[in-house]
Amino acid sequence: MKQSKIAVLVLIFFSACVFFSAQDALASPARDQLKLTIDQVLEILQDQSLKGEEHTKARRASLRRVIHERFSFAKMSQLSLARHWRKRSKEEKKIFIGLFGKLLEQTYISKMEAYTSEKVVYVKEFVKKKKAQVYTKIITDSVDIPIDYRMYKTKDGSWMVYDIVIEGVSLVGNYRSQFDQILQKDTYEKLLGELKKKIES
Amino acid sequence: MEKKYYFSILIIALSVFVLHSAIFAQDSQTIAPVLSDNAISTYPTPVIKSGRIFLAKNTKSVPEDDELAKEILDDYNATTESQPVADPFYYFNYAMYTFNDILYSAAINPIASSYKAVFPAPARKGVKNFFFNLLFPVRLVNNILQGEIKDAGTEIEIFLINSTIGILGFSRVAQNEFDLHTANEDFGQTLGRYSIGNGIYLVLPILGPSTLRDTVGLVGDYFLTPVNYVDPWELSTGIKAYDTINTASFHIGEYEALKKAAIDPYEALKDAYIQNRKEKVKK
Repeated sequence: MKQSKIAVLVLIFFSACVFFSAQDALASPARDQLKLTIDQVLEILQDQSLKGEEHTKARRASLRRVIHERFSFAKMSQLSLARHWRKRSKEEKKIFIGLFGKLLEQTYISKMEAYTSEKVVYVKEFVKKKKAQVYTKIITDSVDIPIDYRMYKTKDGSWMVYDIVIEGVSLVGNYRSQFDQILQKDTYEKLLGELKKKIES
Repeated sequence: MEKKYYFSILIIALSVFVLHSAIFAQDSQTIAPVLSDNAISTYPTPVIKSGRIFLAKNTKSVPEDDELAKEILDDYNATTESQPVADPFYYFNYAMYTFNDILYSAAINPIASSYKAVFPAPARKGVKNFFFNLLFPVRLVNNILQGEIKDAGTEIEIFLINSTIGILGFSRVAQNEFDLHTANEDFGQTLGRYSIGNGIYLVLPILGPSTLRDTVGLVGDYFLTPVNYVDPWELSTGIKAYDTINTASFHIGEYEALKKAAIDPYEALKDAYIQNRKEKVKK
């Protein structure tokens, strides 16, 4: 009698193990692809030959290359300008994506550079048809910083990031209200000027 | 006895099968539509469930890319612009914002920076944990007011463990060893939970961005904050100032980063505050 009880317990334990390992195996392609990019980012940040002030240029160039594969700055620009996007010509949109993309890139890179030695955990994710949200956390010894990535699926099946939510604050949402505020009072040219100034500073 | 044995093997084989069907679902690159249409919000990842839903709804057609863009835009429209927070006291708020900005750059930031340079992280963390533990009444009462009885219970456990084994709250034993966690509740969030809107945007001197609702919340929480009962008031204020500096020492550079990334820092800070609070009310 006693033996069978132990056997049952062992089996329950094994099934629990199966359950939890299956949970891990359930990672979506969105998360897998994002993880690939973040791993590359962390690798560059921890690369000894790229560390320090004197290598900033080389480091940023590598980071930029990696980030551009996964982050759609075009989509971020479109979403941030929101209703003002349609009023712009194709040329204007291109210029805007270039400028705003650079600002977003700088913002994200400096955020990641601040936490070079920390680890990133993947908390959970939701996928709904062509949209996904992957919840990550940067674990530091004093605080955990939640960073969520909103992604969409492109025609070729890869997932691209269209918004980054840092500590509950969506980047696109934040720029959206800024742009709207500026464009209500000022012209589009003024906004472009401000963007340029920001990047150069 | 033998029978029981085989029965459990059967159960496990079945559960493995169910889980595997979920894994196969992932392999074919299609994931269950677990979300409601415009809310990507906080639910734990449904494991087995997703596999089942997948089996049911596998054959749905996919929308065009442009439709996707429109859909995403609609998501944002539903969340941000439909509830803009009014700012009728813009000039007062802007003046307070400028005042706080100067206060931060001229006093809080330099003091916190040198404090950080002198005191090692473990010491500062202990102080932070101590003050966090002291705010237990605020979290407990607001958990109860929000009907989060389970969280209220967890809050009590955390307080008891950290106050004793954690030595007056200096160490977060409950969180680190017992894996007990709750969301930080306050009265502003309680009011938000009862569908009370933000009202208007307010920038408070020293305290920073707030709204009418959250300011009322601050007043409510004031009475639950033990430090406020310290006599004389000079000492109470001193303790609070020290708490502020200690907290700031963990966030050096963050405000600067926000300002650096912003085209319109006032608006960026306002939006960040509103978004952040909205997230917290949901939890």
